[in-house]
Amino acid sequence: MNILAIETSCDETSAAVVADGARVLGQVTASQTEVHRQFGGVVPEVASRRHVESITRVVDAALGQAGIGFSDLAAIAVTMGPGLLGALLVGVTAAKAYSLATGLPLIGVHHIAGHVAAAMLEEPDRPAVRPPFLCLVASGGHTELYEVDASFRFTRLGGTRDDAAGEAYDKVARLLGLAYPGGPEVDRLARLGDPARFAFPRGLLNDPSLDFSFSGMKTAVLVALDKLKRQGQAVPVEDVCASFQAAVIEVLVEKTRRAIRLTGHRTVVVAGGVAANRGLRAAMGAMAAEEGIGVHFPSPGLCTDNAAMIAAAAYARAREGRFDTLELGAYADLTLDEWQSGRYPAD
Amino acid sequence: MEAHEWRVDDVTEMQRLGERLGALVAPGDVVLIEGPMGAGKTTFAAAVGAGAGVTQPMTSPTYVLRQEHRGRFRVAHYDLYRLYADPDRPETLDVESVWALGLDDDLAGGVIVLIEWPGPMAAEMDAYLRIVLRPEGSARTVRAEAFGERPESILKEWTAS
Repeated sequence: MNILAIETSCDETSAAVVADGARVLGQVTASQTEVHRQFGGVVPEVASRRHVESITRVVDAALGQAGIGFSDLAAIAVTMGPGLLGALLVGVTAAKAYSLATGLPLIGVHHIAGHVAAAMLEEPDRPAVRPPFLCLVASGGHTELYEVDASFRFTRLGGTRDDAAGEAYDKVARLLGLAYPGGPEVDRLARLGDPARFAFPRGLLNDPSLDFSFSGMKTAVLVALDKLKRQGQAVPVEDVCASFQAAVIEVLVEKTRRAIRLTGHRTVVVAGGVAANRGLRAAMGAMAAEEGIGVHFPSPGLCTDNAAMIAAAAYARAREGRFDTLELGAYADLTLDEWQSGRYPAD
Repeated sequence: MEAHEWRVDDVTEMQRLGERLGALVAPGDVVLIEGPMGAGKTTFAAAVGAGAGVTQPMTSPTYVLRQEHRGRFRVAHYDLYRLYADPDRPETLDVESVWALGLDDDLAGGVIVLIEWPGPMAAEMDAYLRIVLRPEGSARTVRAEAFGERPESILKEWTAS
């Protein structure tokens, strides 16, 4: 079963063709990172315009790469939320137009379910995972732990009470004057620094819940930088990055370990943009070895926003015979529960 | 314009102050929250939301820009941080994008509006409560300025509560 998927929730215009929810036959992504770098972040109006300019070209290129046409497809999938409303609307409108023109059924996908489904895609150097598994989603907008059952249904175990991990990375990068997007740069510099130089707080580490808090770490970095400035000292950027990264990773890994022990899952999937972080990959791998479980990270290219992951999530829906109608909308703050139940928010 | 200033020793005290404000606001009210990164703007906004009856955690809306919550009332929580070319220069806010988030619908009433990093948006509002958080170690100065009749009466009740 071939599914064409479209993803435009933020600043990447992506289309992919995926067979049986696992084999990527073609994927093309037009990134706007360069455009937004000039602004220091994503500009919604610019993002929407860029999506409009790129969408049909990207879809055609993905189909071309797969070497198939619309007649070889079984469904059209699209990210319906959460994300920037104007950006989501471009993808949803395009998917509906293709669906109307071809008669192919439509499947709306929750963006985070997509990130998790990235682990279900086959990749050359690693096996694809099949649910059930435990999943840590860590990105700019999310930091959550989920149980995913055999039919790809999510149960939330815990999540951030304030900032997402990726947001904390980007804000610390900003405090240090690093380039946008800041996460990869902090990860790179962290490898050159001393992780014990600053003792940044491990938010909620000793709290029995599976919740996270990263806001205090950001504030602690700010306080440390202010102190250095007052003392007239140069900022040891590498050491700040290493110490901050050590604090974030310790919390992510230990909460995941706790979730594994509580639920008894034998596989953990780490998804979302922060899953591309090299320090996190190493630490999570070490924890998994200690616990005797498997850990799966999608390759970095599939951790950032992409359409192949949306197709993988849509396949799980299609197998249950769940499709959407041309009434499908875009929802800036769609929850996973709303998506799973099919009871989308009222307009 | 009426103004009042509090000093809070820690985050718990600041949350209590925010919750007391939350108990006084109603749909149609606008609260602008300013202060440097790490000052506690999201913490304060979440406390106002909790005071207004929001029970789910109000996480940072930095990435999604606008997040809506429901308690006794609807609460629209904005963070405009990512819409500045440089957040330290208010004039670099992409105002057109702010409106594109649906702000005029929210300002038309029916919802409590909380805005972090409001920058020049105050100039677009008729009446609002402006909160400025100044960090001093783990303590904070919380300054409230009320512009307009309704915000002034909220401020009066808040300082008396």
